[in-house]
Amino acid sequence: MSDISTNTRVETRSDTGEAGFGDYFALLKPRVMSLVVFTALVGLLAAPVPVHPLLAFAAILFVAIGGGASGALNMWYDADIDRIMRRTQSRPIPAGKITESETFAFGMFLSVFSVIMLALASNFVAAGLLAFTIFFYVVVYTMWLKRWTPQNIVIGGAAGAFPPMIGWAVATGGVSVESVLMFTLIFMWTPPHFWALALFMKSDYRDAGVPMLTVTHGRKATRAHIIIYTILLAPIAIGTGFTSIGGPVYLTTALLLNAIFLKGAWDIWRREEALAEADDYKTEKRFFAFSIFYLFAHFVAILVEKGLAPYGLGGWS
Amino acid sequence: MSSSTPRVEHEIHGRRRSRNVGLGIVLGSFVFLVMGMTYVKLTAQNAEMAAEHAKKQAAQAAAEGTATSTSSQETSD
Repeated sequence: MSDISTNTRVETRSDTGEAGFGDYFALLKPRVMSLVVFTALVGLLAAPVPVHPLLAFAAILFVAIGGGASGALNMWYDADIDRIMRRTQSRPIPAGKITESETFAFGMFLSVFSVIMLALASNFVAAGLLAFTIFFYVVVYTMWLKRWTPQNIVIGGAAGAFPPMIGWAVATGGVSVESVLMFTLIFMWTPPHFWALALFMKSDYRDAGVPMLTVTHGRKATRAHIIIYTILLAPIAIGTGFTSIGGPVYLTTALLLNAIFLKGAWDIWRREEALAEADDYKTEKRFFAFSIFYLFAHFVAILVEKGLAPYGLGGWS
Repeated sequence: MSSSTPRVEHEIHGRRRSRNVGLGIVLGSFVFLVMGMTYVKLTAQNAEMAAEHAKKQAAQAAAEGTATSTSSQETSD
C-alpha cells in the first residue's frame, strides 16, 4: 500500500488527547484507502459470480477499514521517521494530535473488527486474505523490510496488491489466474512508481535513514531498476488481456499505456542527474503522475469489459 | 444567583463534539448495515431452503407416482 501524500503543512496541538473525528480518519490514510477500495471493487465486479449489492458494499467497506487499520498501525510504528520526513510531518502523530498508544489501540481494534466482519459478510477465504494483507503490511513491510533492505518497496508492494484478490475472493470464495494476474499487475507496478517518487523526494528518505534504493545504490542504479521493472510489468499487463477479465478494450488500453510507460522509463534511464536536477525532475514527476493514471486505467478497462459483456461486446466471446 | 457571563466555547469542545457526532453516525450506520446484511443473508438462505424443499417434494411426488402406477399395473395383470 503506497502513500502518495505530498502534503507538507504542519499543524501542531499542545493539548493532545482531544483529537477531532477527522484526525482519526486521517490515521486510516484515506488516499491509500481510495486505491484499496477501487481495486477491490474491480476485483469483486470482474468476478464471474454476482454478489448482492449490499453484501458487496459491506465487503468493500470492511476491506477499506482493514486497509485503513494497517495504515494506522504503520503510522504508529513509523512515528519516529514520520517526524523527520517532510511529506509525513502533518500526519496525526507527528502533528501532536493523537498519541502513539491511542493509534496502536485504534489500529489493532479496527484490524480485528474488519477481518471478523468480512468473514461474516462474505467468506473465510476473503477474510483470511485480508488478515494476511494487514499482517504483511504491518509486520513484514513496516517492521521488518522498510528499514532493512532497499528492496523494501518490491516485497512490501505485495500488501497493496492484495485488494483485487480479496474482492475476487469475496465473490468466488477462492483464488484464480485472473485474481493472481491483478495482484501481479499492482505488485510489479509499485517499484517503478515508488522509485520515481524517491528520485525527486530525495532528502526525505536519506534524512529518515530509510534504505531506499536511491540512498543505498545511488540514483543511476535506481533509474536502471525503474526500466527493468517497467519491462517486466508490460507482459503481465498485456497478458491479462488474454484471460477472462480481458478483451479488446483492455488489450488496446494495455498496449497503449505500456508503450507510453516504457518510453517514460527509457527517458528516466537515459537522463543525467545534473540535467534532472536542472529542470527540477520534470521527467521523473511526469512519470510518477502517469504511473497513477496507468494503474487506474488498467482497472477501469477491466470494468469496461465486464460492463460491455451483457451486450455481447465485452471479453473475447 | 445565576452568572450572566456567557459560556466560553473552547476549541477543545468543538473537537470533542465532532468526535462524538462522528462516532454516533458511524455506530448508527453500523447497526443499519448489520441489519441489512442479516436480512439479505436470511432471505437468501430462506430462498435456498424453499428451493431445496420444493425439489424434495417434487422428487417424492414423482417417486410416489411411479410406485402407484407400478402397483396398479401389477393389480391389472
